[in-house]
Amino acid sequence: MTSTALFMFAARFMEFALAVTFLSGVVRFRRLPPELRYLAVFMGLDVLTEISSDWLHRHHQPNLFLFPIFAAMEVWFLALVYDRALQWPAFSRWRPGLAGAFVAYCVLDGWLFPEVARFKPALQIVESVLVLSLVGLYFRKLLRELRVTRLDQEPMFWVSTGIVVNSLGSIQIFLFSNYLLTHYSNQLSTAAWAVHTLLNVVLYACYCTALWIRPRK
Amino acid sequence: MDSPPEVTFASMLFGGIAFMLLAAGGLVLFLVVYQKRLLQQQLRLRAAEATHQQALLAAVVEAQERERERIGRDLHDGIGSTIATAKLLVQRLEGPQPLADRADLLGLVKEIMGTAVQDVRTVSHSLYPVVLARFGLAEALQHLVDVSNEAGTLAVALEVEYPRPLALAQELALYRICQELMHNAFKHAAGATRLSVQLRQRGTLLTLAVGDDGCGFALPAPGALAPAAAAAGAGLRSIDVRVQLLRARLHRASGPGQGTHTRVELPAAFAV
Repeated sequence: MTSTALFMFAARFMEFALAVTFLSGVVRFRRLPPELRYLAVFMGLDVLTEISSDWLHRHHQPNLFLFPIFAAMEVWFLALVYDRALQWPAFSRWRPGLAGAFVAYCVLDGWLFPEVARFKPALQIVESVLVLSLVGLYFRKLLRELRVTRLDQEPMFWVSTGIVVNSLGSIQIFLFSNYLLTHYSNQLSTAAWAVHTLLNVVLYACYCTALWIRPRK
Repeated sequence: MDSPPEVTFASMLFGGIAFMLLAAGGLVLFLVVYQKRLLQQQLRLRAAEATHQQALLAAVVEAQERERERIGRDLHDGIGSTIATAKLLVQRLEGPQPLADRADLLGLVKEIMGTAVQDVRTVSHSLYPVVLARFGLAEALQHLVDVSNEAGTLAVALEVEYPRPLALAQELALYRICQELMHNAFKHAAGATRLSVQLRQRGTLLTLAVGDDGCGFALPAPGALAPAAAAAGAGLRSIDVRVQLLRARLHRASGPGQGTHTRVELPAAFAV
């Protein structure tokens, strides 16, 4: 299997996983706790971004400008998700400022340094570090409060696991994305992004599990 | 991916990704295992706490029953028999035939009724120390020591340094602890020649210490009851309950031939 074929397979698989996750969110929306409702809404925006990106790609238009917009949405919504899950007044006070600063950074970066053919590794790394920090806070709460008796029945544990696997696995791909484009073959770059797409499948599978299970405290 | 540098870079990149994925998996696995271990620890702790609370509750109930039994015995053997005797004498005085020793009998009835009044006061005081409510812990301890010294079995010395009185509920708990410790000393401290009671309030700490120079006993290992302690188990447990309610600390020191010394320390933070 060539790297392009692998990437195409991974991309279709990811679209399927995203669609299933989004539909899970729609079906279970009324019964979801507030933090997962934010996640379900974010899944809807993710679907819209994916459709827009695909449409632009089919019409041979650059779609990389969508990335800062998606990153801003992801950090903003995940901050909301973790704000409700953590329920720490201090975090609630700081969240709008922190997430807002990242959104401002995304807007300025997209506006001042528009890119049509290159990635934005700095923005992607900052985003990964921010969401990993949110997961770190959640894991800390999990160990300190010991309210959850079965982690496999805890939706936020699945959300956090998906983020940890996806972000840690993708961080090197983000880091070397432009280096791969300029120094090595297109084949290697495509293979690396195929791995990233498979990691997205893992992320959506975890999100889907979180949206589908019923939490047990 | 034909050139050797690209192959090397690719293997480094994918190796790095694999390492990071392993790290992520390891982190999640660690979290699951560690959280499970912490939960088990917490469950064990809660079970131990529940057992302890149950033991304390049993001690409270046992102490209440013991106290009721003692009051019932005091009423029956003391006041009951005294009043019954007085009633018999009054019936004799009511009889139709004149009595030569009428005045003596009347005097005897008065004396018996006086004893009954004294007995009622003693029972009443043991039920609720009025002196404590009226004059505070220092006076109540003084009264307790005076009454004990009047009984004359063991000389009791009291030292009080108590400038900032506590709330009545706390004073009552300390009084009961002192009463129980003195009672234990009278009952178990064979060969004791003196019993000292100290109430000191220095800085942020209030200390109640009761010590005797009697036979003492070998302190039980933690979690076990020594024979002497087992015999006086309910009393010691009721002390433990009160100490816990006060959120104070209890220190016991004893050994064969070394007397028994008990100290209750109440930090000011828990004094209301």
